[in-house]
Amino acid sequence: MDPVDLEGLTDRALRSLPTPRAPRSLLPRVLAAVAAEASRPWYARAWLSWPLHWQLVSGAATVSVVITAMFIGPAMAAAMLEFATSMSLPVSSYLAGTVRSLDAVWDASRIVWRVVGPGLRYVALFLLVMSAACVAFGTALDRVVALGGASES
Amino acid sequence: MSDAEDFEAFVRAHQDMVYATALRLLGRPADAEDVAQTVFLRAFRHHASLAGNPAAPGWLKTVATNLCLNHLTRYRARWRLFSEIGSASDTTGAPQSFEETLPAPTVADQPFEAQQQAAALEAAIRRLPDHQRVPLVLFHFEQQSYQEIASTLRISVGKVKTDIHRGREALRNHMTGQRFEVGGQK
Repeated sequence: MDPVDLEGLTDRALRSLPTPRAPRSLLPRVLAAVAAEASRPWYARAWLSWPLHWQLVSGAATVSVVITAMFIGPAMAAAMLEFATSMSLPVSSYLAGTVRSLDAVWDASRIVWRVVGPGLRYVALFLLVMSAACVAFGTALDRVVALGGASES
Repeated sequence: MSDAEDFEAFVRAHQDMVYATALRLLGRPADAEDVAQTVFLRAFRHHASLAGNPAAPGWLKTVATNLCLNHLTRYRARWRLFSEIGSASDTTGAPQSFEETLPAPTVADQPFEAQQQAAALEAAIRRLPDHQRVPLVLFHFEQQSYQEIASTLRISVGKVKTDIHRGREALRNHMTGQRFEVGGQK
């Protein structure tokens, strides 16, 4: 059979099929899952479903913790090492090695930040502007579609 | 109408379409029901924007398709292997469960013979191996082009065409064996 004929025949046969019906168990399952989701507190759900202001707060807090760790981390590590040494704790040599490794990582991070940081502000600003534009465009499009649907009905 | 009743009406209105999309892509009713549940759970999170939105059916279909493809991705290595081998045993597929031998629900107002033929064709689609069934369903039911299917499945256009052609051949052979009339021809 010519492939074109086969494609046409298959297409006609498949398009003529009725839509399979969903099983009766689907609706109760969905409603049960939705009820379980709705009963969970907002902080137990996925981060993207959090209220916007809590997303911003948690995001800002995370960034603050990371930046703070980068800047005060070495001082804290040195203080810990000094404390361990003064106490003659048996783990001080292991701790010294760990602190040196962390120090190297923090120094590298700060160097990277010094190089990339200034540019990141502009990138962040650009992303913020584009996100706001997308939200505005999406909202306007939603309203246009809704108005179009309402006028047709 | 309360929000809960509103959402229930939303599910009732679209559950057949979502389930059909998942069933035809996955070929297994249990998996299709799981995916359909996940689709509506996501729809619930966006219900405020989806309710009354004419784009809702398209959104549901897209989410269902993506979830099905993610579900099948775990079998991607097996999928590519069988697609490359392309043996004659492709049409046999995995062993069937009893549930898969049951005919799909059909529209009550169709003649009985047409219902049987439709049920047999649906069962034949589900029996196809994944690497033939998925491109076939995306082409004929989702109206995607060969290029779009290749991009979605991350395989070559040539492989898409080969797999779809083999799927059509398998359906035709099955239907011929069932004495099924495809487009008026036997």
